[in-house]
Amino acid sequence: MGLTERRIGLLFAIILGLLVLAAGRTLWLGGVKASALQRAATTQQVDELEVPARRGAIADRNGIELAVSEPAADVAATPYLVKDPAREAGRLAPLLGADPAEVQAKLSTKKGFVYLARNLAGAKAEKIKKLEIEGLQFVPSARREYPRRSLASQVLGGLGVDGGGQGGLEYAHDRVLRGSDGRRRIVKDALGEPIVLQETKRAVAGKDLRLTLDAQLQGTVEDVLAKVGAKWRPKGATALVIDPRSSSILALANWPRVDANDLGGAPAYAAQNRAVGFNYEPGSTFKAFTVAGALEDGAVSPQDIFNLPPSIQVADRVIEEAHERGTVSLTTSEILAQSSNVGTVKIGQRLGATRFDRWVRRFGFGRRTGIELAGEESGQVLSRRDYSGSSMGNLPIGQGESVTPLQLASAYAAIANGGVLRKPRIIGAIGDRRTSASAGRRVVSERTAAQVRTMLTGVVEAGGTAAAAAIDGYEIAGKTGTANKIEASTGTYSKTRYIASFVGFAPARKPEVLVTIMVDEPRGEIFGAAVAAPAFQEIMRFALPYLRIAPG
Amino acid sequence: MSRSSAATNAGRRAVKRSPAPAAARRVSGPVAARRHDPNARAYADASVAAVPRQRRLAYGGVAIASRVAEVAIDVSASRTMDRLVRSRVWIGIIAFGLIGIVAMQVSMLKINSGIGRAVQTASTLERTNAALRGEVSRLSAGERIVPLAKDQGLVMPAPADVGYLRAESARAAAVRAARRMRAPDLAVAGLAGRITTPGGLGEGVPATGSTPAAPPAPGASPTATAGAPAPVTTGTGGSAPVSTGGASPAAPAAVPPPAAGGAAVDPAGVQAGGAPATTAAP
Repeated sequence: MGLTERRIGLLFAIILGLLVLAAGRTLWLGGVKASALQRAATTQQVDELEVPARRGAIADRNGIELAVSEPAADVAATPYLVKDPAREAGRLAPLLGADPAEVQAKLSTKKGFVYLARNLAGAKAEKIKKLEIEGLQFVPSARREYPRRSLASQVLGGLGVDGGGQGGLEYAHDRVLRGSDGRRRIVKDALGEPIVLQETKRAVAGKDLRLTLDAQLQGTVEDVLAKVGAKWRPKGATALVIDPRSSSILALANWPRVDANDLGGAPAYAAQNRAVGFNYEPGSTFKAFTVAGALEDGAVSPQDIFNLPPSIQVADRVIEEAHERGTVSLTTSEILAQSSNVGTVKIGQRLGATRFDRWVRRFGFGRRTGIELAGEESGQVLSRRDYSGSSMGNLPIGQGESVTPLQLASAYAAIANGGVLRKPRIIGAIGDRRTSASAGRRVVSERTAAQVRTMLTGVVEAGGTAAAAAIDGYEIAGKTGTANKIEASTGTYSKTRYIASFVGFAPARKPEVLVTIMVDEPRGEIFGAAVAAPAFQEIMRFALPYLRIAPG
Repeated sequence: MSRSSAATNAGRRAVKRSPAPAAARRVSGPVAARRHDPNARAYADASVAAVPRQRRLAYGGVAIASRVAEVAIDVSASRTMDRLVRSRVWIGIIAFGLIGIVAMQVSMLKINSGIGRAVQTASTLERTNAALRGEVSRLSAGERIVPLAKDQGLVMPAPADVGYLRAESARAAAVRAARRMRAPDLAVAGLAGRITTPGGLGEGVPATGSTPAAPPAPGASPTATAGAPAPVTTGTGGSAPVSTGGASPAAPAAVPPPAAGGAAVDPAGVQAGGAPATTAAP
């Protein structure tokens, strides 16, 4: 055997040896370690991702966005895979916006899974990904942002950590806004680059909501309520601006203000949308409905004169005026303009309990308006058969029944628009589909509605209870209200806690805008004329030119 | 031995004898002989006719299958096929196919990788878009704009200080505007002697089409030249607020106060087309 042949033989032996080694390794990996490696490959190379559907945005009637969603991520960790928790916590904490010690504690825990952050902004999540820290997981999610922060926060509501609506429109329209999540299967190569991407279930984005609210008007109303809050230091205040022709809500504000991005951190009272969820006795603002019913039934006419003593006894109760006076003679119009308790009780007595009860219900009190908002209360209206002997002494003047601010505004809108009670609306469009105003139902004749409107102008004129609410160039109609709150402990009317309110609209002859103000427990002054009417005027002074409503 | 197995054996033998005389291999054997035997065909037809219809159908199916098998065997045993199979062209074809498969796989991987990147880009764009939408909303907030407007000396006009125009029909406005049309003052326009006006056709009409139109005389109402109604912003209820260069009611006070009752007055003192122009603010 020559040298060459020996060399070839040696080379052959080496190659053969290598082949044997390779075969052995193949058998080892493909046989003994096969199942473990297959599992590892599946987890490392194949990702089954949930693709969160984009949640629909909420915008005002001009398209200004009040709630938007952006892609985000939940950042989780498998602590036992994190090699140096202290070091990694130091790198992660600034991006997570958390305390390094807290992050380190989470990374050092003995659990197999721990969340480091939920709904972290996408940009921050990307930065964390680039750190390439072993043991971190990123679960796609969506982050809700309310760019106007406190604007209409109680109306909008908020989202929980699981992305579900919690309160307000976010809750009431969760199904529409949420859409449907998709699923995606991604196969990655050894370098982690996706090589196969399958959309196993297509994500369907949620629909956008276009509200009837006007962000500019809403902001102004909230500013006015903030001034009321600063001046009278009430427990709370609520205001509504409505277009009475369609019952579209143009502004719905609650004070104290709450940041919609942190609605959960606010006290329950502040976070509540009290325009729909707060029952209160309306007081004198209710007298308009007593008069409207009596006019419609022909029980009284605007010119009827009533001889009114300083007080009137009804069964075991004595009803007095808010301000002391002697015996006077007032017409029906003057009774409403001067908000006479005695006069209204007399009108109620002419109407009778049964017909009064019917009118209360016809104006929509005692049941929900049906607006597309969560948490609406129905108010409380005494059943006719539960009337006592003195009921007709306090019900006609707005005591003994409770309403929500929205119910009151809706009923006043019926008087303002000529007698048609419509379901209030706050959703202008869902996706591309516009919603229409409800046709409503007629509750009083146009003639009666016009008579009441004329009477209500007297409230704002000289000699009325709210002359301070007048606006030059415009004929304003409105009604003040001051009601005692009920002491829960005794069940009697409080002598210290009141609700001051004002409802008004303009132009009185052909109303295009209606404003309701309700101030809960003002301090220093209690009357609607002093507390709520100036706020009404300030809102109207902005709203009339802003809405391009001509003087009249 | 069946016909098909006999044929297969014959073919196998033929391959073993290669290179063999092609003609002998093709014509010999029981299969070809029986197929071309007219008597055999007649016998078969007679036997088929004798059996009942259902059985005949079953036999028919078998006959078709066996016929297809025969053709396939013939094709595989043909000289052309033999040459084709033995040809070196196959090397090229297979190589081309393999390269194509690899290329397709690479292409698929590239596409998938591209999809992955596109999804990532879409997500980034969506995030950016959402952030920008939020930014637009924040920037349009009144609480940001109002202080800026105040810094520039803008004031909110009182409601009664905003003038409104009563909308009327376009035809009535056009008629009134046409009635108020006057000939341009050529001396003022510097066109005296350059334009002749034909009598009876209305004043102010250029003599030739090539002559440039005379510019309106200074002080003339802009509405007088067009015959169209004044630029009234239509609103609900037949009335509209006057535009003062800014749609917002927060627009600055720029012109003298309106007449009593909110009636609008043109700063130029001209009431054209029944729709006087702009006014607003204290």
